[in-house]
Amino acid sequence: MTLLLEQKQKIPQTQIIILSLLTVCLLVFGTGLSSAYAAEQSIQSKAQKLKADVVELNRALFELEEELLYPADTQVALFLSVKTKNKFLLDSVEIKIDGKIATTYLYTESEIKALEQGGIQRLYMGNISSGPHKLTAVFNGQGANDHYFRKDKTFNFEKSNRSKFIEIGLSDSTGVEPEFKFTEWH
Amino acid sequence: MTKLLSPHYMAGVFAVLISFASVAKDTVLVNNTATSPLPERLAKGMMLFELHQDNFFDAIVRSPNLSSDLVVFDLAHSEFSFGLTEQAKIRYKKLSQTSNSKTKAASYFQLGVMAYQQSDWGSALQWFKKAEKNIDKKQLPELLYYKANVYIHLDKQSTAAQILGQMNPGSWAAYAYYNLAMSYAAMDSEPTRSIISLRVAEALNPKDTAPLVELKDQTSLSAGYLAVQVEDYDKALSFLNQVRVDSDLAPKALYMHGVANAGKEQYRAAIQSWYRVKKYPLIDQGVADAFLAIPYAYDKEGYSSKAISTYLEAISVFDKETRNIDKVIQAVTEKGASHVFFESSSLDDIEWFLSDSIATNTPKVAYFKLIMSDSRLHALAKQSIELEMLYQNLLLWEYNLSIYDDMLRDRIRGYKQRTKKINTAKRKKQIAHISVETKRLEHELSEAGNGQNLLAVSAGRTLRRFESVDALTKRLEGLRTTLTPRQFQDLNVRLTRLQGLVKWEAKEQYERNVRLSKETLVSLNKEIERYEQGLKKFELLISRGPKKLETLKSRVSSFKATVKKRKSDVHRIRAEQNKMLTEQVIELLSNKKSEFVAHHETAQQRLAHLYEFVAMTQYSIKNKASKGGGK
Repeated sequence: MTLLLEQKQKIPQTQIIILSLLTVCLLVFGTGLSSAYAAEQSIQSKAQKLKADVVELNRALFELEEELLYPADTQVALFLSVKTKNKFLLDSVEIKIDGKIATTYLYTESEIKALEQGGIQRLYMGNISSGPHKLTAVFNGQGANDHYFRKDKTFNFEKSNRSKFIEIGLSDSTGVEPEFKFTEWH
Repeated sequence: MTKLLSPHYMAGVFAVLISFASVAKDTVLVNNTATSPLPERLAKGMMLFELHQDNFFDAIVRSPNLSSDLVVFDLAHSEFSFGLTEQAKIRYKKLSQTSNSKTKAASYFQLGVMAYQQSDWGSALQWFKKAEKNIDKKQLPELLYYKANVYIHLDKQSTAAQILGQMNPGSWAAYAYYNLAMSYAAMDSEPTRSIISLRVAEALNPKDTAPLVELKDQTSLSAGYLAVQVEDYDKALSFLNQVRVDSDLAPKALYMHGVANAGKEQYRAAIQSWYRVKKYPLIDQGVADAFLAIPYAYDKEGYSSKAISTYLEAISVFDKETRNIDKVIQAVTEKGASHVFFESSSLDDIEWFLSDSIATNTPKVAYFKLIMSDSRLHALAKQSIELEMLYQNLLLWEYNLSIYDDMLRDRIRGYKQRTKKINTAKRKKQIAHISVETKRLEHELSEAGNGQNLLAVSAGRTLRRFESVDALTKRLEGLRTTLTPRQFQDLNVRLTRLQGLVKWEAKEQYERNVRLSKETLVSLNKEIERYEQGLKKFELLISRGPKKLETLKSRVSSFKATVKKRKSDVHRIRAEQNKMLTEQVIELLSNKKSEFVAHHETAQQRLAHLYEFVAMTQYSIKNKASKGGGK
């Protein structure tokens, strides 16, 4: 009877030991996993805050840079926009201001797609003196019926003491080549 | 005195003043530095240009400060894609309260996607249900895909299947049916439902982009795999034959192709498929299995010696790959996973890539693919690359700011030197002198008016005539001795009459000349006043000039410090991130190594059994032969 009781008492003790070991194992394993997860989460949250800070810093730095390098009284910026229903494919562009090459640009497929989806590219930003100026834009590309085109257009503008923004808009035309339009914003 | 009061003289004084003032104007540096804000259309377009190229960081930086729903939505999208989820969530929540039903629905949907990515299925479902009513038709398939996936995660496959039933053919429908098929495969012991779903996925797949062609390969491989499981080998082969040879899944498909042939007891065909797998990197799925399967098939075909040699080859290959993994683990431990796999490294030698004996020399790209195929490691690697990009960005700003700092220092120095040369006191003295002259002219004009001095205000032709009459009178006086008294008197009378005529003319013009002179003097006074003010402004500008430059310089210096601080923050977090990535990559590689060790052991065991079998066979043949000889 005593022996039986002892045995009866021993069984739960063994079970308790096994259960305790299992619990300890689970706790250790679980803690290990959760601490790794917590560390990952902590890094992610720190990285997110840092990304936001760097974005804000970049905004402020671009403003400062513009103020420093391109003050309003000499600033000129050229933009390019495209409006087409796959009628032409822009390949490259050359920009001259007063006969001097300001910039040339060769387009990638992704840039063309971005332009076609409403994106506007800042082609050039520089400094010019006040007074009259001549802007020449040369476009190379493929128009309707695989027709290769090289088209240039000149635009005269007056620079005042305010920033000068000029948008060059390319759009579909009734012919095989696209149309070009200059829009002055200031 | 006559000349001093004439309108011509006044005009001359005026001209001098203008020319002087224009010098002053040129000297004054009207430096309008504050740039004009970019027009809304251009600012929005610039952001979209970056966004549509997936340059999310640039899109956020370029985003205009506008309250337009569309701009805010695009900004939130960029932030979400760049990992700024909390900021994006706030924007989407704000947008979900706008009046525009489409924007509202699109925001609900994005909030649902965010919840989905955090495995918050309940919230995700709620957001998707809210979005469903007014969502743009173009986005509806994507929404249904996510919604069906939520139900799959909730083990409600029948509801998911009902949702998918509403979908039209397209990429989202194909992916959704593939996911459904995989969930059926995990649940069912019999793969019919899975195979049907895979067939639907393939039928709905437009296969017009690289990822969709890859999905088609994945669908065929999975269907083949499931068919092999139920020993429907012909069907399996028909599915597996559809996987492209240049697909990333080709080694696995070829291995399964061999398995299907072996299932049909066509071991020669199986060996052919498995031999084709050997050219792929050993680390790719299915390649190591093929190395083990070839000797097995030879053995089955009864080519024991060929089986032994291919087992030996497999053992050697596994051994080499194990050592190779050790080498990679060592490099990763020493230099970090980010450096070894995403930056240049010592492992990046040309031999690694040019080697065509891929079975014994797995290229780096295979390891790279292995790491990227793990979604958790992929996320860590993506963040590592983003942090590296931020670090490079700050490094560039640090360099640029140091240049701007030097430039401003030189400008301030140059400005001070130039302003010393500009003598404003001299200009002030000149203006004061002209002012005194004007006052005197005013006084004389008033006196001339009081005394009706016709000559004083005469100008132009009349003045010249007065001068001519004066000259003739003097000349007549000189000729008095040579002329007779009658002649002299006659000429004198004529001259007196001429003088009278000129005076009459002067009298006629007197009123007009006085008025003109007065007007000119008034204008002159105004101009003097204007240029005095201009000079004052110029002096003010000069005094402010260095201050403005110094303010800019101090701003640059302050930004330099901020950039330095942020750079160090990025460096610290990047190090923490890389440590975590390295640990996980090592864990993955160690697991892979264990697999190769296990394969190595399997090959050795099988080889030992084969040797044993061959030895026993030879022994029994010998035994039979010796018994036969005895007889």
